Amino acid sequence: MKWKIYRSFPIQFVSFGYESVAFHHGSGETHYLDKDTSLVLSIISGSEFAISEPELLSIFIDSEGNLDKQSLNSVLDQLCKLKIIESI
Amino acid sequence: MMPDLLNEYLMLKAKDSIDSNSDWELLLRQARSAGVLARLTFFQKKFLLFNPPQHFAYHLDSAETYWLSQKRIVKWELHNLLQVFELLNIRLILLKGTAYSASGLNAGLGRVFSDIDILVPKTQLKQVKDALKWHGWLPEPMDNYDQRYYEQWMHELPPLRHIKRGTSLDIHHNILPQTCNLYPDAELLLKAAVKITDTDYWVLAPEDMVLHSASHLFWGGEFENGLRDLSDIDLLLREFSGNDPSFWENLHHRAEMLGLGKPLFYALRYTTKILATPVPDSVIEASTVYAGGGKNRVMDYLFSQALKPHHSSCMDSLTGFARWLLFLRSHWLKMPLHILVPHLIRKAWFRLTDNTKTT
Amino acid sequence: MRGPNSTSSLIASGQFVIRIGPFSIRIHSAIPSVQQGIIELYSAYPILPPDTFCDFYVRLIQPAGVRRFFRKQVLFAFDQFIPFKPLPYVQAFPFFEWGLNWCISGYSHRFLIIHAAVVERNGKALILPGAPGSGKSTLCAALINNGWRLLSDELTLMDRATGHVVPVPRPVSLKNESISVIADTFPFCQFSPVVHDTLKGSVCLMKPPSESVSKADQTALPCLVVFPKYRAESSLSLSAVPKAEAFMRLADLSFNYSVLGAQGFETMLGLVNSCQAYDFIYDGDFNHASDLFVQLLDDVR
Repeated sequence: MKWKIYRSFPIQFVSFGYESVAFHHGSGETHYLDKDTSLVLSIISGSEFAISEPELLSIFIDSEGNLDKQSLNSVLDQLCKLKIIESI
Repeated sequence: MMPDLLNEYLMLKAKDSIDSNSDWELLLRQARSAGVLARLTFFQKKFLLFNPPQHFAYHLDSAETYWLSQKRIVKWELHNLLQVFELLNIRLILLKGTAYSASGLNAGLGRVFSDIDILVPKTQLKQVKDALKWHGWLPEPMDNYDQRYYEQWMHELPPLRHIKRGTSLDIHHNILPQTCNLYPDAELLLKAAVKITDTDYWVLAPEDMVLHSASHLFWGGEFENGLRDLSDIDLLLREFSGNDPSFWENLHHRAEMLGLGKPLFYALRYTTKILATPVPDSVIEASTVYAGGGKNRVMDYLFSQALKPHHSSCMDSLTGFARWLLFLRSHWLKMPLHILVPHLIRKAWFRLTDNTKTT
Repeated sequence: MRGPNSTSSLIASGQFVIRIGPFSIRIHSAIPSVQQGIIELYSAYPILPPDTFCDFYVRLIQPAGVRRFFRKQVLFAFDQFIPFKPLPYVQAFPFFEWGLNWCISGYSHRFLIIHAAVVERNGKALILPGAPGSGKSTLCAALINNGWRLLSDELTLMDRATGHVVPVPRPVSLKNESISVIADTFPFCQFSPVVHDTLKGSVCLMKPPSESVSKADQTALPCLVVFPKYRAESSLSLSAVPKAEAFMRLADLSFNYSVLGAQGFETMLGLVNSCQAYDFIYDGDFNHASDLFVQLLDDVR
């Protein structure tokens, strides 16, 4: 599975240090994103192409993160439920 | 009698003589109670019809902000609904305010509506209901009487509510109840439905949209938003006739085909009388073939009373009575007598015991 | 100076118009306690001509029928719309206050409206969000008797266009124990009669200092957000709240954040970026709290 930012509506997010808040222009909801979730989201949104889980994990480890596969899945699951990201 | 300022505005006339603060405040209050404050916003911003002072304009902006939030909610809801309908391979056909808004019609500007209305073929109702239930749209809790009322007599299912988002969805299988003396062939409506450009949503053909709106207003019996609903019809007529010179002729023929000539007659009569809709004389003349013999003066009086803004400044002591008569009439048109009487008694009882209403 | 009799008759006939912050309010009621409350607590407010354009037309009326005489009730009306079920007649004046809050917070989307008290010093605003159990109104009542100007005790109005806090000074609403605390600490203040057995318990309203009314057109820059929590016999504690968390907590405490959508998001961003946010636990020592806030505010910019 590869992941991209939700394409049907803009997602606006602003960082405050490691954490961020995201506004979903479709659902109108605002979400608090913790450190790991914020980083995962910024990697996905910064990537020109859809990005797979192994790629995410390796980028994550290269940057500041300490995230195992299970935690990554849980972050992706949460972002997917909120329709902030979608799988291609 | 206080001036009926709201009518002037809904007639799309710039009224230069509003320069007193009292008049502006009265207009604000009338518009708010008629549910058209956000519509006035568009009359000002898009059509540049009038130039209000700042203190009035703040309220237009506030109403517009609220309208935008409702629009966003509906847009998101439709986005989610479409995903279900695509799985079912059934067209998502929108009705009423939902349709005006999604089509970008003028009638949708500033139109705030709380429910989403869609049209589904009767034969596909169960399939749709089951799929929606799976995706979180559940029927509202309802007592047995109301449940039977819907199933036996109505043209729509009991409303569904989304379990997480709380939004309300009305699924229609026709535009009027089957016990009604007028009952158009739903197949014709479905066949003529058109796709909104650049989207996967469908709406009724323009003529059908007008006839639906007319039937809903003149056969529905609910006049709390009567002036607003009449204003919808006025805006639809203006826009459709402006886009297509053959619209009037198509409208006439379509009314005949669907058996909805009477609602059309009323719609044309009262939009021209109350909102000065520019309907060609020949078209009005043609619609009079559906006019009832001799009743017109009575209906004129009743409807002109019922279609005033629901505001104390616009009502006299007979307005409430006129509304009640029309309400009775609509039920008589929709229901056989042996069902009507117990139903009205029940409705009256609920109205009496609920005192969170308007004065 | 206008006599109370003429004010009463203006209120009874719907010709009484008053300016409260950015709004003109028309108040219409034949109920004596409402008239009395307005005469006493709103005496410093500018009274406007009856034909002024009013933003809100509010009425306190008695329902028709048997409840007019037996177990009397009162209804609140916003023009012709009656949003709430009736309350006992004796609660008419507090009902006016709650009803007016409802009107303002529901129909003024020019502002992002947060459920918070807000006070001002040297042009800088201190916002005290009102989560349940916070004691914000009590703290607010104490601060405004300690050199802070009242901007509002319930509704913090953030002007979306300018990012400033716009004052909407009103009588401060106090309940239960805080009534006696404030009345004892500041005996020179003026209070409405206490009304018991409301949904919030015993309530009463404190007249706002006249300066807060005379300076109601002076906005303030938001600089400090302090989430108060009253805890008896605890030691004072102040801890910084990270901005992302402050954002979400303030959004949760806003009346119209979700209605404003993307605009609400932008306005809240502006607020959170311009303010330091703290959690504050205190035991009711108002002087100590006030001194601390003065210091924090001075440190800003």
